[in-house]
Amino acid sequence: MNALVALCHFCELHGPRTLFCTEALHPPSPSPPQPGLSIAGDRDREADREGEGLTMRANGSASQRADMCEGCRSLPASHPGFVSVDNETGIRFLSHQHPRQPQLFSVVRQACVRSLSCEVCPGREGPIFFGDEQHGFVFSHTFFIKDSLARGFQRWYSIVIVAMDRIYLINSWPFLLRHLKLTIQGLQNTALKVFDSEQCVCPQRAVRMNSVFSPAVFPHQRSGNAARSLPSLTQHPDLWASLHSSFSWLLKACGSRLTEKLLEGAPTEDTLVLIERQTEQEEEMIGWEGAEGGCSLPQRNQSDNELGRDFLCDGGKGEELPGPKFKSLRHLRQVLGAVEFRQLAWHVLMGNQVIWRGPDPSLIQSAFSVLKALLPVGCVRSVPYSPQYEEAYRCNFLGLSPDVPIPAHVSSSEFAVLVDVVNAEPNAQCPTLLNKVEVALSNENLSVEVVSHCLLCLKEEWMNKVKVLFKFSKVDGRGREDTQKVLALLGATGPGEDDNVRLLKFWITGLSKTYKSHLMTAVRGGERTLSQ
Amino acid sequence: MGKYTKALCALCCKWRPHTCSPVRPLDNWMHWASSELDLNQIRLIVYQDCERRGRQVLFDSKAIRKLDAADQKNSDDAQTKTQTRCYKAHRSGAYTINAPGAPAACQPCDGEALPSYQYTRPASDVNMLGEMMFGSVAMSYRGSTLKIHYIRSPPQLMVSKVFSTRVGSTTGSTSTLQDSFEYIHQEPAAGKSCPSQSGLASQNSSSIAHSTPVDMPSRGHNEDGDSGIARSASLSSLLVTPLPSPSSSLTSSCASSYQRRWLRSQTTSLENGPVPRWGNEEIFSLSDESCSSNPAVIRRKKIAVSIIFSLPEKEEENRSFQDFFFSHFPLFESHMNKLKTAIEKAMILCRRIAESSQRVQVYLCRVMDALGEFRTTIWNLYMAPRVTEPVWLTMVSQAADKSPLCQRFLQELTLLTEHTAKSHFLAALLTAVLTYHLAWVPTVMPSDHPPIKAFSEKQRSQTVDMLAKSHPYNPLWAQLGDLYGAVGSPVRLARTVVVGRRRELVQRVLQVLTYFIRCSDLQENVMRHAGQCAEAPPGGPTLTTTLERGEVERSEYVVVSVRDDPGKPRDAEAPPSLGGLGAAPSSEPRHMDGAGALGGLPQQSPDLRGPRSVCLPQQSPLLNRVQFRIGSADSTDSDLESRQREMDQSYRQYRESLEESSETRPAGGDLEEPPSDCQAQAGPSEHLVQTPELEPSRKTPPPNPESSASRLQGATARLGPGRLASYGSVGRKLPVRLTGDIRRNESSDSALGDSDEEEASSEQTGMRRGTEAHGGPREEQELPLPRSETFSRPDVNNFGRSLFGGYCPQYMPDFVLHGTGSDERLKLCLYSDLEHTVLHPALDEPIAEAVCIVADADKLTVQVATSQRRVTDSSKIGKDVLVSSLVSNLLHSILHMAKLNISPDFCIMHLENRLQEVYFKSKMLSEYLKGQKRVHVKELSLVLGIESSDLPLLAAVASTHSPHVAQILL
Repeated sequence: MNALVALCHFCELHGPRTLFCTEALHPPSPSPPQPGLSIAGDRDREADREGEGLTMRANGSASQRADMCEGCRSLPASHPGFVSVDNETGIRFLSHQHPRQPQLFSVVRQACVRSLSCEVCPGREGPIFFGDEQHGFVFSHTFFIKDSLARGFQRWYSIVIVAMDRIYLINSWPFLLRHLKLTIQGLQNTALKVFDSEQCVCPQRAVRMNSVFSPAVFPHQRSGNAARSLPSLTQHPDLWASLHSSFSWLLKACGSRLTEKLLEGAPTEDTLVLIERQTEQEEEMIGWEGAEGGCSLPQRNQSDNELGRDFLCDGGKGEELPGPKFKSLRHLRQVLGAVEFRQLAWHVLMGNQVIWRGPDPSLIQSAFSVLKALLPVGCVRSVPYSPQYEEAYRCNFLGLSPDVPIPAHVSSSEFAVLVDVVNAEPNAQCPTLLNKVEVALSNENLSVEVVSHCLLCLKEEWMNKVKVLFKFSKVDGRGREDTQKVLALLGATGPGEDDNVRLLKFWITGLSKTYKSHLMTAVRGGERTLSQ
Repeated sequence: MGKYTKALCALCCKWRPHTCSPVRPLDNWMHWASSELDLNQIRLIVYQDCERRGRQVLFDSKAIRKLDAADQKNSDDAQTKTQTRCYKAHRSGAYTINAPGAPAACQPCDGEALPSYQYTRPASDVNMLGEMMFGSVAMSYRGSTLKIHYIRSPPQLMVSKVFSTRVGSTTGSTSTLQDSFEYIHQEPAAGKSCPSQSGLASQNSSSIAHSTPVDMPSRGHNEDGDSGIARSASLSSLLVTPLPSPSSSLTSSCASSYQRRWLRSQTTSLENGPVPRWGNEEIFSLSDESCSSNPAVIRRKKIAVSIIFSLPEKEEENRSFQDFFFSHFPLFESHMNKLKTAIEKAMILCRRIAESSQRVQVYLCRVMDALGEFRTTIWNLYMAPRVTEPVWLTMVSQAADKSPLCQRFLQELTLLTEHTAKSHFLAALLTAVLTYHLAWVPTVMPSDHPPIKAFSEKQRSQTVDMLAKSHPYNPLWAQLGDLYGAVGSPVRLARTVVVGRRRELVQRVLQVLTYFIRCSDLQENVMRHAGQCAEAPPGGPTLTTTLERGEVERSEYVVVSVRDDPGKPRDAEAPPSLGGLGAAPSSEPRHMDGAGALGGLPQQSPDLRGPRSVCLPQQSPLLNRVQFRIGSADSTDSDLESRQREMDQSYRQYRESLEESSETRPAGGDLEEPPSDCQAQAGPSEHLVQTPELEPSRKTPPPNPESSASRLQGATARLGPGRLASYGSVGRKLPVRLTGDIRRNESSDSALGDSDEEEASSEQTGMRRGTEAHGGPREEQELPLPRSETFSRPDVNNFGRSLFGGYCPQYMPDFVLHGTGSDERLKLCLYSDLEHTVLHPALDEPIAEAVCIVADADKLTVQVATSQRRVTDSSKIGKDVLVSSLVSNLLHSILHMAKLNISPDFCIMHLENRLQEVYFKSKMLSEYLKGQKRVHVKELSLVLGIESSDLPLLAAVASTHSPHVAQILL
């Protein structure tokens, strides 16, 4: 909990005093470091502060120690204090006589004074809450400890818990009260035993009644004994260490008393597929020990890209790889022209094989990476640049060098598009998705980022339709009539219906294995529960 | 339906195995409270502490009785009886206001029609209570002070707010009210047997004797310039906006829920010192003039408003009320503020009345009315029926098969959709609910973790989990904000009321809405200390080995820490280490159960203390991938990363501003010597910050070389490579103003040396954490943290369980959602409630707007009322809701999918996917709006395909992740 606990005492000689204080120090923030930020400036600042601190210390403590007696001191001056670390969270619990952070010093001091000499608790022992925005908020529990030598045979203490979050502190009242009571009772019981045994040895009441009262001597007479420390009152030499443990525990337990269960949305299919692929790759890597050579990018025809550069006059300059590149879908569209782009995009969306033949591998690669954005990740199988033709079932994006022959069945197929040869496939109506993509691409007012968000929206929208269709047709195995109904429901019917359906069917192949297997098992599970 | 009810009851029992209060279901709607609450258990006292005149009671509901013209018997508790009567009449439902003057808050006080009240003798405890309210020392603090006292016998709980007063410019006017009180006490005709005259006099003198004004030591002259007030001026303005302003370039996606919680933990952090979060200085106003009066005058008078709850005698009932009270305190406080405002008004009003007895009557009548309303509201809050099984929360908390739940919910949803299809009632209502109760948005934001369990099961947000552990914030507060939908920017607070005479229909609507109004589920963790010492081999520490994953993305290591667990006290649920205390007789040097009593002390051999690490190659690459999301150093493209960077940045900005403001004051100002007069009064001062133990340790080596060696080992062990990454960035930004840091520098070359690898590497990377965490404390004696076993159980006293109201007999102001049969009271109170909410939000942070969605299930209309404008058309409560086509398409799809017999689980999954689409669309919208100043609605539909009917919804959703949207669109 973002709070501190302190034990306070009303000293007969010195008034309210803070005896022992446990703070919780949190790691700064669960954030990653930021690269390339000026460190020097901070250093300077720290140096300034150091100077400040030193001067402060120099003119400090000597006078103060003179004002203290045994009763208002906890750890001896030589003691460095206690620390406990919560390894799970990095929170450190520190105990000293006073808080280490100067800004908290006066806050605790204030809490101590108020708890022991300002606020009124009925019966003097018990819990009070008080505070304000300026001084922080305090849950205080006052109590007496027996002392055979003290005035009235008892000394007055309080344990205060100070926090800035008043609501949190008030919410924790029942918890804090319950646990402070235990701590306090422990102290009181121990002290009571000490008191009883002392009284057996030397009954103070009798001593006091028999001693001659002299106003002049009295304060001095008492002061020698008045300053008894809490460890001596409890005969517990390790009292401070155990109080440290007790207070640290209290802070930790109070902070984690309530926990939230906060849910996030399901990951997108793209995320899932990427994770699956990565896992597969890693497994392969482990299996083959990295024996696989880079089959994808043959290095040839690098020089022969003059033509391409002329072709894309404004194309990529100053990129890491030389040669022109497609920067975005819109760029590709501008280069190809609206009509040709539309055809190309159509083929991509339908899952047809896109063969791009040309001398410049990096140009082809950039074209593919731009075009991939049209599809769910799971639908993309690409061979960026290959010395020979690859079959369509292996890849829907294929880059080839100009001289590679394409088998006749492919070049005549309507399921492939060859980019260097415009393979005209007349399509009157396009899938709804493509029409919308085109609207976004053709609008020059939209930035590339907006277009990509737009694309994401469209893809997710259609991916959700894909899921329904998959569930409906593949998992539940419904008939044709019902399927038609569900297609209508999904808004896939009407103009462009054939294409829409084709697109949906192609996209089904892009669903993640995780998702598919979940639906399958859910159905099996569901049937089982139904049959029971 | 019968089956349903049974299932509900069964579920209800299943959930609340540890409930201390038995739940009594009524129909299928439960009552929250286990104990009765009598209206007379709530007592109001208004007290004044005046420097000149001492303390005076300005109001005490216990000492007032009503003179009823019709009821000449005038029994002392006539009022009590009336109230008890109506309270009993409505036991099954809620208490409805039918006290004669109840809605009188809005009516002009007419002397003739008023019931008359009179003072009886003052209650015997009133002096004591005065002491408790004001304390024995007069405070010079100007703001309001909050106090809570527990009185043991008879058991009572007293909540007080003490205000400074603001008085008018005309002198003398302040005393009229107390004069009139004295008048009434002195007038033998008014009080029948009235010993109060003497009572009052003695009270005066006694309080004078007590209130020797002793200034607080810290409030001396030297410190005034440095006081929180001065600081708050610069800080509060910064912190008022709960989200970073758009100008600060923090625009791209940030998970709103994470950000809200993080910011809360920062603004309430103790490490930042006292930082007043939103500087509304609450003052008790005794004049309606807005003149600023002389501060000297203000300090002279304080007014305390106290509410005293008599607690039930039965232990269990007592505890259940207390649990409710403390967990729902923000709501109680908000109503107290309302009460205070009413008292203020009453005082101002009655001062205008010349005739003394009438003045008092007006005053008493006003305050009694306000008290009546307060009592009723509290009673309702405690006793009104609740939705037993909020759908969303049930799904979240229930680990077992969710299919039946989905099925039931889908059934209700489709029934309702069909029933109200023609009017688009449900679509409109859902549009409004999704627009204002925005906490659903984070629950559909796609996570980037692979699903761990079943697919349909959403995942816990790991980042938020981690945050909660390392930077505890108040989960109750977070939940309240979620429920009220206060997660957008600007912050709006929303409630929904369903009005309708057909109980069943209203209940069905409520049930369905509990799926869409979302919040986090709270668990209560009961920590017990692991009972170790009994089993531990005598004399030897127990070694436990834990595997900790490295926290950095590229980390190849698992840190294995080996640490001992010294004996713990056996006492379950008890704070550690004092267990032995009780058993320590003074004559014996050693405790009987040594391990227990000495738990945590440095008595073990040093090389066993502190964790040590063994580095192992990480086994699974997947493991690695999962972790780096917690705090990765340099993967840049994930959404989370950018979020965290923003956090980091905003935090830095905040810290820098903090620092700036601290730099403007004299260095170490608050540590300088205290004023001498304080010293005289409070004993020798502790103000000089130098705590005695700091200095020696700086100059001399640690006292115990052995233990320091062990500490070094401990430090080495904590060398998680990830630590640096996750702690570094911000820590480095912290203005280091702590003395401990200095010491660390000095000592690093001697005591710590190179062996402390953690330190060393953090030096290298230049990433220093704030002093407090890694630096100075290196020299403290390290003790292991007591280990505890944690048992989790569902938390009962949380807002998610208490603020979904059921079908109530009348409108209630607190519930996030409830139904009611009549809108009479709604019409009467709604706008004043909304205004009050803006002024005193229960959320403990400033809000921009309060909104109430009113669905009329009879007329099938949905309207939204807002605090920002009243509707001009008197037949309407608010503005009609535009049905979003996204929402109505969604409902249409779900309905037909259900008709096609697609499994309910899948339908719900699809519903979630569709909500996710809405989120993606909002992202697109916010991206489009970047850099735009003004956008025409037509343009949006043309360009982005966003229909105008969807725009309010999308803009609201976008405001949860991109604050700049609000400025352009709202």
